[in-house]
Amino acid sequence: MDMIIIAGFLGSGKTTLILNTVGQITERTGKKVAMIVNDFGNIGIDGKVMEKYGLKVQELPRGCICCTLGPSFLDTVRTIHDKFQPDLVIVEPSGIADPDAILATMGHYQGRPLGRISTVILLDAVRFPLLVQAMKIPMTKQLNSADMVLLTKSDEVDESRLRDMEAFVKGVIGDKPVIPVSSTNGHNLDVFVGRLVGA
Amino acid sequence: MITEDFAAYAARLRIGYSTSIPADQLQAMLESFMSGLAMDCLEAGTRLIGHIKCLVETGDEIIACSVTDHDARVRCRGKFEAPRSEVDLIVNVLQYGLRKKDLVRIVANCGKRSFVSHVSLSIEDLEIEEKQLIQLG
Repeated sequence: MDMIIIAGFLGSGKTTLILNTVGQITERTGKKVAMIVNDFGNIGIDGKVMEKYGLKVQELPRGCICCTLGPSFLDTVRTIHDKFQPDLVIVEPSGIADPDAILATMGHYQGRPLGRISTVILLDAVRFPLLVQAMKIPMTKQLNSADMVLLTKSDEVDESRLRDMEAFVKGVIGDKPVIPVSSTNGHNLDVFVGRLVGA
Repeated sequence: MITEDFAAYAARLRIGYSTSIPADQLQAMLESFMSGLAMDCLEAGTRLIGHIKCLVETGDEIIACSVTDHDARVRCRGKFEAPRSEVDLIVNVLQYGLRKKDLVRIVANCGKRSFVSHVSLSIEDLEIEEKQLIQLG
Protein backbone atom coordinates (compact mmCIF):
# COMPACT_ATOMS: atom_id res chain seq x y z
CA MET A 1 0.00 0.00 0.00
CA ASP A 2 1.39 3.36 -1.07
CA MET A 3 0.50 6.57 0.76
CA ILE A 4 0.04 10.05 -0.67
CA ILE A 5 -0.23 12.95 1.78
CA ILE A 6 -2.05 15.91 0.24
CA ALA A 7 -1.26 18.82 2.53
CA GLY A 8 -1.42 22.59 2.37
CA PHE A 9 -2.52 25.57 4.37
CA LEU A 10 -6.16 26.05 5.44
CA GLY A 11 -8.35 26.75 2.44
CA SER A 12 -5.72 25.85 -0.15
CA GLY A 13 -8.15 23.55 -1.96
CA LYS A 14 -7.18 20.08 -0.70
CA THR A 15 -10.69 18.64 -0.46
CA THR A 16 -11.76 20.06 -3.80
CA LEU A 17 -8.63 18.75 -5.51
CA ILE A 18 -9.19 15.26 -4.10
CA LEU A 19 -12.86 15.27 -5.14
CA ASN A 20 -11.82 16.27 -8.66
CA THR A 21 -8.95 13.82 -9.13
CA VAL A 22 -9.53 10.65 -7.15
CA GLY A 23 -11.77 9.30 -9.92
CA GLN A 24 -9.00 9.88 -12.48
CA ILE A 25 -6.46 8.18 -10.24
CA THR A 26 -8.68 5.12 -9.94
CA GLU A 27 -9.46 5.06 -13.67
CA ARG A 28 -5.87 5.43 -14.80
CA THR A 29 -4.34 2.94 -12.40
CA GLY A 30 -7.14 0.56 -11.50
CA LYS A 31 -5.95 0.95 -7.93
CA LYS A 32 -8.20 0.54 -4.90
CA VAL A 33 -8.03 3.86 -3.07
CA ALA A 34 -8.85 4.62 0.58
CA MET A 35 -9.08 8.07 2.15
CA ILE A 36 -8.10 9.37 5.57
CA VAL A 37 -9.35 12.89 6.28
CA ASN A 38 -8.26 14.88 9.31
CA ASP A 39 -10.28 17.97 10.17
CA PHE A 40 -9.35 20.26 13.03
CA GLY A 41 -12.90 20.79 14.31
CA ASN A 42 -14.91 18.32 16.39
CA ILE A 43 -17.18 17.71 13.44
CA GLY A 44 -15.29 16.81 10.30
CA ILE A 45 -16.81 18.84 7.48
CA ASP A 46 -14.37 17.75 4.75
CA GLY A 47 -14.95 14.05 5.34
CA LYS A 48 -18.73 14.50 5.24
CA VAL A 49 -18.47 16.35 1.92
CA MET A 50 -16.32 13.59 0.43
CA GLU A 51 -18.70 10.89 1.61
CA LYS A 52 -21.62 12.74 0.06
CA TYR A 53 -19.75 12.68 -3.24
CA GLY A 54 -19.30 8.93 -3.06
CA LEU A 55 -15.88 8.45 -1.49
CA LYS A 56 -15.29 6.01 1.32
CA VAL A 57 -13.60 8.02 4.03
CA GLN A 58 -12.13 7.38 7.45
CA GLU A 59 -12.41 10.61 9.42
CA LEU A 60 -10.08 11.77 12.18
CA PRO A 61 -11.66 14.91 13.61
CA ARG A 62 -10.83 16.76 16.85
CA GLY A 63 -7.20 17.64 16.40
CA CYS A 64 -4.25 17.32 14.11
CA ILE A 65 -2.64 14.05 13.01
CA CYS A 66 0.76 15.72 13.08
CA CYS A 67 0.59 16.00 16.87
CA THR A 68 -2.25 15.05 19.24
CA LEU A 69 -3.85 12.54 16.90
CA GLY A 70 -0.61 10.80 15.92
CA PRO A 71 -1.39 7.46 17.65
CA SER A 72 -4.97 7.46 16.27
CA PHE A 73 -3.57 8.10 12.82
CA LEU A 74 -1.23 5.11 13.06
CA ASP A 75 -4.12 2.92 14.27
CA THR A 76 -6.27 4.12 11.39
CA VAL A 77 -3.59 3.41 8.79
CA ARG A 78 -3.07 -0.07 10.20
CA THR A 79 -6.80 -0.81 10.29
CA ILE A 80 -7.29 0.35 6.71
CA HIS A 81 -4.24 -1.60 5.59
CA ASP A 82 -5.39 -4.82 7.25
CA LYS A 83 -9.15 -4.69 6.70
CA PHE A 84 -9.57 -3.02 3.33
CA GLN A 85 -6.19 -3.75 1.74
CA PRO A 86 -6.18 -0.78 -0.63
CA ASP A 87 -3.36 -0.21 -3.12
CA LEU A 88 -3.24 3.45 -2.19
CA VAL A 89 -4.26 5.51 0.82
CA ILE A 90 -4.69 9.25 0.33
CA VAL A 91 -4.29 11.31 3.51
CA GLU A 92 -5.73 14.81 3.77
CA PRO A 93 -4.36 16.35 6.95
CA SER A 94 -5.86 19.47 8.48
CA GLY A 95 -4.62 22.74 7.03
CA ILE A 96 -2.58 23.45 10.12
CA ALA A 97 -0.62 20.21 9.90
CA ASP A 98 3.13 19.96 9.58
CA PRO A 99 3.73 17.26 6.94
CA ASP A 100 7.21 16.57 8.33
CA ALA A 101 5.61 15.63 11.65
CA ILE A 102 3.23 13.27 9.84
CA LEU A 103 6.16 11.62 8.10
CA ALA A 104 7.92 11.36 11.45
CA THR A 105 4.79 9.76 12.93
CA MET A 106 4.78 7.24 10.09
CA GLY A 107 8.31 6.33 11.17
CA HIS A 108 6.65 4.67 14.16
CA TYR A 109 4.27 2.61 12.02
CA GLN A 110 4.41 -1.03 13.04
CA GLY A 111 1.91 -2.60 10.66
CA ARG A 112 2.70 -4.51 7.50
CA PRO A 113 5.35 -2.68 5.48
CA LEU A 114 4.11 0.22 3.37
CA GLY A 115 5.20 1.09 -0.13
CA ARG A 116 6.12 4.62 -1.16
CA ILE A 117 5.03 7.61 0.92
CA SER A 118 4.89 10.84 -1.08
CA THR A 119 3.84 14.34 -0.14
CA VAL A 120 2.02 16.85 -2.30
CA ILE A 121 1.83 20.41 -0.98
CA LEU A 122 -0.86 22.82 -2.19
CA LEU A 123 -0.17 26.53 -2.27
CA ASP A 124 -3.08 28.94 -2.73
CA ALA A 125 -2.26 31.26 -5.65
CA VAL A 126 -4.93 33.80 -4.72
CA ARG A 127 -3.66 34.30 -1.16
CA PHE A 128 0.04 33.79 -1.91
CA PRO A 129 1.16 37.38 -1.12
CA LEU A 130 -0.82 37.37 2.13
CA LEU A 131 0.51 33.96 3.15
CA VAL A 132 4.12 34.92 2.41
CA GLN A 133 3.65 37.97 4.59
CA ALA A 134 1.85 36.23 7.46
CA MET A 135 3.14 32.66 7.38
CA LYS A 136 6.46 32.60 5.54
CA ILE A 137 8.40 30.41 7.96
CA PRO A 138 5.77 27.68 8.49
CA MET A 139 4.87 27.79 4.80
CA THR A 140 8.50 27.28 3.81
CA LYS A 141 8.74 24.42 6.29
CA GLN A 142 5.67 22.83 4.73
CA LEU A 143 7.15 23.21 1.24
CA ASN A 144 10.40 21.58 2.36
CA SER A 145 8.61 18.28 2.83
CA ALA A 146 7.11 18.28 -0.68
CA ASP A 147 7.73 15.78 -3.43
CA MET A 148 5.50 17.93 -5.64
CA VAL A 149 3.91 21.36 -5.23
CA LEU A 150 0.62 22.45 -6.77
CA LEU A 151 -0.18 26.14 -7.24
CA THR A 152 -3.94 25.99 -6.76
CA LYS A 153 -6.71 28.30 -8.06
CA SER A 154 -4.55 29.08 -11.12
CA ASP A 155 -7.64 30.27 -13.00
CA GLU A 156 -8.03 33.20 -10.58
CA VAL A 157 -4.58 34.78 -10.96
CA ASP A 158 -2.46 36.07 -13.81
CA GLU A 159 0.65 34.51 -15.29
CA SER A 160 3.03 36.83 -13.44
CA ARG A 161 1.65 35.66 -10.08
CA LEU A 162 2.24 32.05 -11.09
CA ARG A 163 5.79 32.87 -12.24
CA ASP A 164 6.55 34.60 -8.93
CA MET A 165 5.19 31.67 -6.99
CA GLU A 166 7.13 29.15 -9.03
CA ALA A 167 10.35 31.10 -8.45
CA PHE A 168 9.65 31.20 -4.71
CA VAL A 169 8.82 27.50 -4.52
CA LYS A 170 11.77 26.43 -6.67
CA GLY A 171 14.00 28.40 -4.31
CA VAL A 172 12.82 26.09 -1.53
CA ILE A 173 12.38 22.71 -3.19
CA GLY A 174 14.78 22.87 -6.14
CA ASP A 175 13.94 20.75 -9.17
CA LYS A 176 10.90 18.94 -7.84
CA PRO A 177 7.73 19.43 -9.92
CA VAL A 178 5.71 22.63 -9.48
CA ILE A 179 2.35 22.53 -11.30
CA PRO A 180 -0.27 25.29 -11.51
CA VAL A 181 -3.72 23.68 -11.27
CA SER A 182 -7.36 24.68 -11.10
CA SER A 183 -10.09 22.47 -9.73
CA THR A 184 -12.61 24.93 -11.17
CA ASN A 185 -11.71 24.62 -14.85
CA GLY A 186 -9.64 21.44 -14.65
CA HIS A 187 -6.38 23.16 -15.65
CA ASN A 188 -3.50 20.65 -15.39
CA LEU A 189 -5.39 18.18 -13.22
CA ASP A 190 -4.48 15.46 -15.73
CA VAL A 191 -0.82 16.53 -15.55
CA PHE A 192 -0.96 16.30 -11.76
CA VAL A 193 -2.54 12.85 -11.81
CA GLY A 194 -0.05 11.67 -14.42
CA ARG A 195 2.87 12.80 -12.27
CA LEU A 196 1.30 11.30 -9.18
CA VAL A 197 0.73 7.85 -10.60
CA GLY A 198 3.82 7.88 -12.80
CA ALA A 199 1.85 7.66 -16.03
CA MET B 1 0.60 26.00 11.36
CA ILE B 2 -0.47 26.62 14.91
CA THR B 3 0.67 29.96 16.17
CA GLU B 4 -0.08 31.69 19.46
CA ASP B 5 -2.87 33.71 17.91
CA PHE B 6 -4.60 30.79 16.18
CA ALA B 7 -8.17 30.12 17.33
CA ALA B 8 -10.91 27.85 16.07
CA TYR B 9 -14.60 27.64 16.79
CA ALA B 10 -17.09 25.04 15.57
CA ALA B 11 -20.81 25.38 16.16
CA ARG B 12 -24.10 23.90 15.07
CA LEU B 13 -26.83 26.43 14.26
CA ARG B 14 -30.47 25.41 14.14
CA ILE B 15 -32.66 28.05 12.56
CA GLY B 16 -36.44 27.79 12.50
CA TYR B 17 -39.05 29.75 10.52
CA SER B 18 -42.81 29.92 10.95
CA THR B 19 -43.33 29.11 7.26
CA SER B 20 -41.28 27.55 4.49
CA ILE B 21 -38.71 29.90 2.98
CA PRO B 22 -37.99 29.69 -0.77
CA ALA B 23 -34.75 27.95 -1.70
CA ASP B 24 -33.15 31.00 -3.34
CA GLN B 25 -33.79 33.12 -0.24
CA LEU B 26 -32.27 30.47 2.02
CA GLN B 27 -29.24 30.27 -0.25
CA ALA B 28 -28.83 34.05 -0.17
CA MET B 29 -29.08 34.07 3.63
CA LEU B 30 -26.54 31.27 3.94
CA GLU B 31 -24.06 33.05 1.68
CA SER B 32 -24.69 36.32 3.49
CA PHE B 33 -23.96 34.54 6.79
CA MET B 34 -20.67 33.14 5.53
CA SER B 35 -19.54 36.37 3.96
CA GLY B 36 -20.64 38.28 7.07
CA LEU B 37 -18.55 36.02 9.30
CA ALA B 38 -15.44 36.81 7.30
CA MET B 39 -16.12 40.54 7.24
CA ASP B 40 -16.91 40.65 10.96
CA CYS B 41 -13.74 38.72 11.78
CA LEU B 42 -11.66 41.11 9.69
CA GLU B 43 -13.34 44.13 11.26
CA ALA B 44 -12.65 42.72 14.73
CA GLY B 45 -8.95 42.27 13.97
CA THR B 46 -8.34 38.88 12.34
CA ARG B 47 -4.92 39.12 10.72
CA LEU B 48 -5.44 36.04 8.56
CA ILE B 49 -8.54 34.04 7.74
CA GLY B 50 -7.49 30.43 7.63
CA HIS B 51 -10.76 28.87 6.55
CA ILE B 52 -14.39 29.55 7.36
CA LYS B 53 -16.51 26.65 6.19
CA CYS B 54 -19.99 25.34 6.75
CA LEU B 55 -22.06 22.31 5.93
CA VAL B 56 -25.83 22.03 5.57
CA GLU B 57 -27.30 18.57 5.21
CA THR B 58 -30.84 18.51 3.92
CA GLY B 59 -31.80 14.89 3.37
CA ASP B 60 -30.01 13.79 0.21
CA GLU B 61 -28.69 17.25 -0.53
CA ILE B 62 -25.50 18.72 0.80
CA ILE B 63 -24.40 22.34 0.73
CA ALA B 64 -20.81 23.11 1.63
CA CYS B 65 -19.72 26.75 1.61
CA SER B 66 -16.33 28.19 2.25
CA VAL B 67 -14.55 31.52 2.62
CA THR B 68 -10.79 31.88 2.54
CA ASP B 69 -10.10 35.25 0.94
CA HIS B 70 -10.07 38.61 2.66
CA ASP B 71 -12.58 39.88 0.11
CA ALA B 72 -15.07 37.55 1.90
CA ARG B 73 -16.03 35.79 -1.33
CA VAL B 74 -18.16 32.71 -0.67
CA ARG B 75 -17.70 29.52 -2.68
CA CYS B 76 -20.46 26.92 -2.42
CA ARG B 77 -20.75 23.35 -3.55
CA GLY B 78 -24.45 22.53 -3.83
CA LYS B 79 -27.42 24.79 -3.10
CA PHE B 80 -30.87 24.68 -1.55
CA GLU B 81 -33.25 23.03 -4.00
CA ALA B 82 -36.54 23.21 -2.09
CA PRO B 83 -38.29 25.52 0.39
CA ARG B 84 -37.61 24.72 4.04
CA SER B 85 -38.79 25.94 7.41
CA GLU B 86 -35.70 24.68 9.25
CA VAL B 87 -31.99 24.94 8.58
CA ASP B 88 -29.40 22.90 10.48
CA LEU B 89 -25.84 23.90 9.74
CA ILE B 90 -22.37 23.28 11.10
CA VAL B 91 -19.87 26.10 10.85
CA ASN B 92 -16.15 25.97 11.49
CA VAL B 93 -14.13 29.18 11.83
CA LEU B 94 -10.35 28.85 11.76
CA GLN B 95 -8.42 32.10 11.89
CA TYR B 96 -5.42 33.96 13.28
CA GLY B 97 -5.73 37.02 15.47
CA LEU B 98 -8.98 36.75 17.44
CA ARG B 99 -9.74 34.67 20.51
CA LYS B 100 -12.40 31.97 20.65
CA LYS B 101 -14.76 34.15 22.69
CA ASP B 102 -14.65 36.72 19.88
CA LEU B 103 -15.57 34.03 17.38
CA VAL B 104 -18.48 32.85 19.55
CA ARG B 105 -19.85 36.40 19.63
CA ILE B 106 -19.33 36.94 15.88
CA VAL B 107 -21.07 33.70 14.91
CA ALA B 108 -24.05 34.49 17.16
CA ASN B 109 -24.43 38.07 15.95
CA CYS B 110 -23.95 37.19 12.32
CA GLY B 111 -26.43 34.31 12.56
CA LYS B 112 -29.09 36.59 14.04
CA ARG B 113 -28.45 39.23 11.40
CA SER B 114 -28.23 36.97 8.34
CA PHE B 115 -31.10 34.54 8.85
CA VAL B 116 -33.77 37.22 8.86
CA SER B 117 -37.30 36.60 10.11
CA HIS B 118 -36.35 33.45 12.02
CA VAL B 119 -38.55 32.41 14.91
CA SER B 120 -35.87 30.35 16.63
CA LEU B 121 -32.10 30.21 16.50
CA SER B 122 -30.02 27.96 18.71
CA ILE B 123 -26.25 27.64 18.70
CA GLU B 124 -24.41 24.62 20.06
CA ASP B 125 -20.70 24.92 20.72
CA LEU B 126 -19.11 21.82 19.21
CA GLU B 127 -15.67 22.50 20.60
CA ILE B 128 -16.58 21.68 24.20
CA GLU B 129 -17.42 18.30 25.66
CA GLU B 130 -20.33 19.48 27.83
CA LYS B 131 -22.60 21.10 25.28
CA GLN B 132 -23.95 24.53 26.00
CA LEU B 133 -27.12 25.44 24.18
CA ILE B 134 -27.55 29.13 23.63
CA GLN B 135 -31.15 29.99 22.84
CA LEU B 136 -31.45 33.25 20.99
CA GLY B 137 -35.19 33.46 20.56
